[in-house]
Amino acid sequence: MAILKWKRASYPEASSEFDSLNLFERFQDDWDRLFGWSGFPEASGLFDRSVSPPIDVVETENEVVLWADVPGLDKKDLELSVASNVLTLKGEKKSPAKAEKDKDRVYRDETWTGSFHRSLSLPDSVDSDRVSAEFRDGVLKVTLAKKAEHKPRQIPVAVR
Amino acid sequence: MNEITKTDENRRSLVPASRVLEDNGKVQVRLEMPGVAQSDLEIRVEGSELTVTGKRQDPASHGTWLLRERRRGDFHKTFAVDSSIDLDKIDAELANGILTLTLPMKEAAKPRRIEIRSA
Repeated sequence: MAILKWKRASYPEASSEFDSLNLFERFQDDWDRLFGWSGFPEASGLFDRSVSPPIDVVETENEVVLWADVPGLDKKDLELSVASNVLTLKGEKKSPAKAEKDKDRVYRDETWTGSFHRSLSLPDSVDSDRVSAEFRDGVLKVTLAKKAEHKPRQIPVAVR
Repeated sequence: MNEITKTDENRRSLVPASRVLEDNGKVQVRLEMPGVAQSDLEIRVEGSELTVTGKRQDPASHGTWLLRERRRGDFHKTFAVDSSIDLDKIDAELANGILTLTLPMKEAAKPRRIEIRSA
């Protein structure tokens, strides 16, 4: 095992990129590097067993955008509803067709199957009537517009 | 080392969750790669190595993160392919974020039934 120089440069500076998840990922990277594990099988790691799709939510000035990784799901397997500011995502990740028949010949399976149900509280400012959803390449993207009264407004200051 | 699988220093490489099964003289590999468009996917065969690379666009870089669970980075996976696989007949299909690779076995490597002659 080679002794490697600790690289501070690989750490993000205290910016918007810095968050605990990122820190953990970097820790995992360093840990792998320390023990010389090449390509730690992340998808089958101890902390990577997911029972519901991972979700990202970003709030910008005009909207709240949500992304969910739902590989292998069809549009009809997903149910999305928004009531006031609570978003509910329901779905079923089915095992691929013929899976039962082929069960005895599956060599490796890291994927999960099953139904999931998740509710998320979004900021009060979202307008539940103006929601659009888009499904592409196994990623669900939901865009929720914000109510006008919650948007930041410029108040002109009159100089006398 | 880790650096080999990384496309650049600050870009993490993710190993897609896979499902490998043998079906009727074919090996089927399913890789979960959500967010990878067909144009950002590269499948290469070099010698007996099959490499799959899927580039993924990062979501918005501005705004406030309210929840952050999805892993960031590009997908990368290398398989060592057995000599029983016919490398010229590999088929790939991408649908709903799942890449399905079908690797047919060479005729000679398929299981065969041997008839027994009665003496």
